[in-house]
Amino acid sequence: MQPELIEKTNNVLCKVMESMAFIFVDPTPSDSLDVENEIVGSYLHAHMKFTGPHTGSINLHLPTVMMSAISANMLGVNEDDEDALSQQLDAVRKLLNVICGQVLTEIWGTEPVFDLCIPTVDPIDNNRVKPAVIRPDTTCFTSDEGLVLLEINIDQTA
Amino acid sequence: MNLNILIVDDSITIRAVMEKTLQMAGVQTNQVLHASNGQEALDILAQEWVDLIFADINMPVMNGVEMIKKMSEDGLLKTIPVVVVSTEGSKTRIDELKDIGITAYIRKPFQPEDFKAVVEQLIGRSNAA
Repeated sequence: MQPELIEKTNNVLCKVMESMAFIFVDPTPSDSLDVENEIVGSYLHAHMKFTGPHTGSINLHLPTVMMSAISANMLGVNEDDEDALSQQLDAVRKLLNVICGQVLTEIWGTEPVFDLCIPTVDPIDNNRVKPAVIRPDTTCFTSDEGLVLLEINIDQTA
Repeated sequence: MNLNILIVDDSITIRAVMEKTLQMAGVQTNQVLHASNGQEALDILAQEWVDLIFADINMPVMNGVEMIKKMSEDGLLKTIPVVVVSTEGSKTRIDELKDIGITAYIRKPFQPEDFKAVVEQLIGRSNAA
């Protein structure tokens, strides 16, 4: 993606994470990261496809510990609250859904019509997350809970 | 006026957040009902009267568009204002929603002010304090 689009999509992630989940993330150049020490513990892979005039997917890699903060903050309860614990996956799926909707508008404007597929969230070995850091369509974000990666893949053949 | 409100969204988290956001917006409610899809919402509407519906579009079983179309076939249900709350950013699709009769549109992520403005517009300033 072009640098100005990357900046716009970065702003989307920061804005949505802050406004929905009260989690603050900052874009960070991948070459400044010590990947081995910053991607530690268990991670989640949240994934969502979109179709329409352009097709592709949005991938969010985030530390598993962030999941409880997301649901608790969205619900306005403590992280050990029963609802926060039971709704962790639902909260992350919905967060990605909103990020995807906002990213598509930022990149292509409000005229095209896209269909968003159902988001999925799965555990992922952090050794599979590390290679994503240097991929060209990935942006890294630092947060109190650990490193977050946003990867936007646009199908160039569509 | 205390409102009976129906929130329709497949995400239990979003339904809870929307209910809390309505409280933060100062919207006075008598009852807030929840449905996880359009069919559940129609089942509730067969038994309960509501003053206002906040509904998502993309839902399993029956989506928001189908629900609104079903409501428009019923003389009584078609009088209930439906506010769509969705991630949808396409002007084309929002215009299509207006064509089938939605009252207003709120885009996610939302703020209390978004709900306050819509309720004030629909019900009057006396409700959203």
